[in-house]
Amino acid sequence: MHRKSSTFFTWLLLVPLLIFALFPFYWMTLTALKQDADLYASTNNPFWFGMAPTLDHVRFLLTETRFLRWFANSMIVGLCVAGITVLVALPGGYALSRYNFALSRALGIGMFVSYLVPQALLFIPLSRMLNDLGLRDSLFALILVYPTLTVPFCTWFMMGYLRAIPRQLDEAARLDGCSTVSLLLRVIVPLAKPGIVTIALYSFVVTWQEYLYAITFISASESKPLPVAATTDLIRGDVYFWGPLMAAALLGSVPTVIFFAFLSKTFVAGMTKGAVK
Amino acid sequence: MTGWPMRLLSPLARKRLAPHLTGVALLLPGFLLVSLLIAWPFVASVYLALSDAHIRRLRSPAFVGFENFLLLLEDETFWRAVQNTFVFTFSAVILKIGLGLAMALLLFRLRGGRAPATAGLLLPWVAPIALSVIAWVWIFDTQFSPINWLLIHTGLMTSGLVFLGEPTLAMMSVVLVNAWRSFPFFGLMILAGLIGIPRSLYEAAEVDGATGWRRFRYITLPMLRVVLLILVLYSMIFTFNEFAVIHVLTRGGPADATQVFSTLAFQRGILSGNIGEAAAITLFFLPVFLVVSIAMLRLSGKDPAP
Repeated sequence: MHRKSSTFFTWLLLVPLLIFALFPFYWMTLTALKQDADLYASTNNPFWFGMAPTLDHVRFLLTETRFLRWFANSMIVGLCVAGITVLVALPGGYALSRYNFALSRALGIGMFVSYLVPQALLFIPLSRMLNDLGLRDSLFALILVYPTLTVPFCTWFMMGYLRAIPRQLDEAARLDGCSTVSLLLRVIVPLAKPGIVTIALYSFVVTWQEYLYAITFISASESKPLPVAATTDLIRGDVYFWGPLMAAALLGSVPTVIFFAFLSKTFVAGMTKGAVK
Repeated sequence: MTGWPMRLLSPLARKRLAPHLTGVALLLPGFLLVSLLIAWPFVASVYLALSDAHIRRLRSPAFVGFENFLLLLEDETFWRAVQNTFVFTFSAVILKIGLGLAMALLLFRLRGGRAPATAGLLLPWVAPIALSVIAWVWIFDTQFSPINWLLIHTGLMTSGLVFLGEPTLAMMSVVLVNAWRSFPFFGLMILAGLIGIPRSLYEAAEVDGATGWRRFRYITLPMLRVVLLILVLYSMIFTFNEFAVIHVLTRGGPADATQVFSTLAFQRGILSGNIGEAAAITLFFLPVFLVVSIAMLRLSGKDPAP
């Protein structure tokens, strides 16, 4: 009896928190699918459809704007950064997990501190550097800079992950005459696959969400990643096209949600590992 | 690592150095990335802050000493931004801890349905922030806000609130949206902390007849101390530098009521082109960043939790 009432009480408090967390997404969906006449009629109940739902806004977004281009831009940058992050963080994390000497420790601390450096501290000088490199308005600017947001955390993550792989395996491979590169490729990579997938997904999600660097470095419409384009190109002056805007917000959130869904198992498990012990 | 430089060394030195060199070589890409794209721009920002760099000026910038900093100290908008940044950071971090604790404690009590409830609560943190803030702009719309509709139709108010047009309300709105976005992360980390607390502590407390509140006060909170401290420090840095929420929601308005360091630097540096001044503004982040990262390094030395 006590158990039952306590569960009811928990849900009683949890539901308002869930509504708070999820309402903006409900609102996005509703707006994206409502007819304009329904949207701007003050007599209708705004929390549900007053007229039949429509796909007009989605159709407008996909055919009359550069939405697909922006979506592709975000996708290209996300995939490239995920790849670069794995290529840099895997060897780095491996070195930190196996080679313990003063220089590697110093580099490790450097990585940790650079993870804390906020974008707002660097976007001004970076915009100038990228200008000088001729990368203004180029997706390469983002592909070059975004790994600074992902590599420090992922290197640390891989370090922790690889420590769990016994060193005896390394030594056995060495005795068989493996070079460091082939050791990494043949022994470490197969064993560390879940960790590698985690950092790749993490990098993709971080990259897709980034805003300050993207809005600073990219002002040409055709090179904009989706979040920047949605907040600039889809809003002309003070005119907000709420239907297509909410459709863009909704569709643009889908990739990070899907990628995170794959990521969450390892991610949450990694953080709640203490529980298993 | 068996390149030609190694051949210059004696065989013994070669043997002792080889593993170190391999380690350094493996770390090198990450190190280059961090030094070229984090450390170097940081140095450049000091240089720019001491210069009259401007986007429309083609000649290389001239050294002007501390002029940019002195100008800022006399600038009312800058002081407004300093004040706002602190108000914004403290209110948002407190709200995030409150909501995060609530989320963690509630999820922890659940027997069934924890996974879907967690997934739902994590959504604000997973969706791209700039995109979900557009939804908030729409939710806060003067004419069509669903919150106003509720307030008016339940008879609580006769006319709606102007969320983003009134200074205090605008600040409350940006704080709320920032907390909305990051409390799930707090909740998740605190939940992990809760799960890690040994059950035996609570059983002992039960034997001693401790009530719910006393258990929370004398067992749960002290056991969560390190997790909470790390979360607060970590989120101080990132809340202090929040850009997307404020830029999309209010652009620092109305009349600079929500102007913070990052939005001011963006407006002065990127929109108006005054690079030197903007670099000086961003350097004001530095004290906060240094204090917090030193504190975090010391904490992580004590407890390798994060």
